Amino acid sequence: MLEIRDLIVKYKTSKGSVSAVDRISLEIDKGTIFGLVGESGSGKTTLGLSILRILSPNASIESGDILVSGTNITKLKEREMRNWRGKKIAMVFQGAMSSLNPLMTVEEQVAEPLIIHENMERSLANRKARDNLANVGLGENILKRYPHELSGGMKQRVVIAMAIIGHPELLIADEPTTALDVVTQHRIMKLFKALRDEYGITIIMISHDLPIVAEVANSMAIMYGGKISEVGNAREVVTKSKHPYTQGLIKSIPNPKSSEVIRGIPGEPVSLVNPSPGCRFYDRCSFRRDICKTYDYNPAVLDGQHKVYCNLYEVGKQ
Amino acid sequence: MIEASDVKKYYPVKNTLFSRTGRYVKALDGVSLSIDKGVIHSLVGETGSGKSTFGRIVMALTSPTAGIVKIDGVDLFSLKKKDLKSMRKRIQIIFQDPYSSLNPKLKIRASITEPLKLNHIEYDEKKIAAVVESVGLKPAEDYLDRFPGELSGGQRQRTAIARAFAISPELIVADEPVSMVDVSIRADFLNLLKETNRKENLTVLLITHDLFVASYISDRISVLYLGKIVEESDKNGIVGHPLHPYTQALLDSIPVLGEGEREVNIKGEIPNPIDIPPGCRFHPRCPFVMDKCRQVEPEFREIETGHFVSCHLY
Repeated sequence: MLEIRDLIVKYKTSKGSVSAVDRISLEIDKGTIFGLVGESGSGKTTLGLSILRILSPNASIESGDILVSGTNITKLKEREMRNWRGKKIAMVFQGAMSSLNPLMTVEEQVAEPLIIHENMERSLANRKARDNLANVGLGENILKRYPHELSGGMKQRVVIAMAIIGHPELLIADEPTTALDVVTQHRIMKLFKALRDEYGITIIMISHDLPIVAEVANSMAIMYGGKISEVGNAREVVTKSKHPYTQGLIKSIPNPKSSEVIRGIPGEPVSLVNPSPGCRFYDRCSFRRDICKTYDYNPAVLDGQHKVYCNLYEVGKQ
Repeated sequence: MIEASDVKKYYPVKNTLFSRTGRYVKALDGVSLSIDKGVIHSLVGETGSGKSTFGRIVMALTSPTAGIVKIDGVDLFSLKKKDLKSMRKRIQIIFQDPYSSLNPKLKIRASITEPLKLNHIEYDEKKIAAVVESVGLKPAEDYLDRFPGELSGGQRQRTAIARAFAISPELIVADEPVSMVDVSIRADFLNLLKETNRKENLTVLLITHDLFVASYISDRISVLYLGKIVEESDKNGIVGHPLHPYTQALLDSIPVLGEGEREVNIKGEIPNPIDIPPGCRFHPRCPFVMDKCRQVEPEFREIETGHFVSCHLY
């Protein structure tokens, strides 16, 4: 469904060029949920924005291919790309639930793009809006309500309804559970699973929350410093993690069933302004070797789909 | 150290600009809580439970509609301005957002020394360096002359903590201190709070929506629902043996790494605190609701030693 090959995305800043996405390759199967997990500054959002080609003006795709259902969208003209956005590929942006128009009812809000972009009649657009809101679990009683009358979970559902109204094949959701309560988080995740299972939508879930993603995703990539450190079946990545960064993340998450002391990862996230060659995690890694400083590593295939980008596993490299 | 009894905070609902409707948002609807010195006590609840309002009342940032808050036996809201000021020397707050709780135009040094100056506490360069290094910003000289904008999120949160620790408070109110911080840094913060608690006998009121975070560092946990505490116990009681259906649902909602899918037994969403349901306030969402629950508000009773719950099931 989605294949990314050697993608490089750079931002031009006053301090120099920032490699937010640095030679990333990925494959995502149709009808699956793919988790993209990383901390702030890891490049996960930039990767998501690249797939829709809506990067900010100072950023650009330097090289690499993004194939969506066989079409290389990096080669499409901007005019052609517009037919993809919202239709084949849609996105739920981070914090979108707080950018709903406070002066419009839910129904008007969801129907508006259909009226403006598709010249649809209001009555038909309203009906489509109602159907879509029903698909995300919202009843007719909320149609005439304004955003301030909705809970966070309801607003997030409205935003998801707006994203899927064009029947996209691929939905990118950026931090869809951040700022929601735990009970609501669980329900939003169930909704994403239903969208996958009932409508066959392929979903990329971008999040900093490893346990939440691990629970719903079929496969998952851990990102650090603009690169993927580990990718594979979601359950395997968390139960048989290989990369020192993934292992560090797991050790920093409290689990009430264990009395183990949690530990942070020493040091600060790497700066991506003119980064040095070698492993991005070098400065914070407790298993680092001299070779990690310079060696531009390749993935070591561990077990089928499970790949780790780390010199410790060089032996298993194919 | 803190003793709150039957604390209420009602906000009047305004219809138009000046007319009142006679209705109230009941943010806190009778909260009693006592925290002993040197204890880490967590107040856990969803958005709209009233947990932050309680924190603000303990900090005397807002006054309660009814009820009494005593700190070491002194009624916080009968204090004169001057006495309140000296009380404030003993309490510090850490806010949720390290991006907006530091003045972007002040260097780190000035952010740290400001509370010392305001409270007329003497300090020297050595003391400031020690405070900054105690939160892991080492060496201090690398950080003191920088602006918040030049620091990462984790470093900013540490600066906010250093600022709170600078006047050596006896009580820290931490309102969602880690929810905006990356996970790899979150653990260090929790460990630092725990360490300071053990070393300096610091009392901590931790306000969070995350029961896992609460269980990691707390001695005691209270679960707040629609302005009232529905369950309270030591951490093993809450996490290992939750009694209230709401606490059970909160626990079930959080995924445990590597474990499969869970069913969460709770209906609907937290109601508007203007219309608090009659009887047990949780009954519209409760999977075990009985007739009695719709009419009679359950008492907050001790079911096991030190384990309190308000629920008709027990």
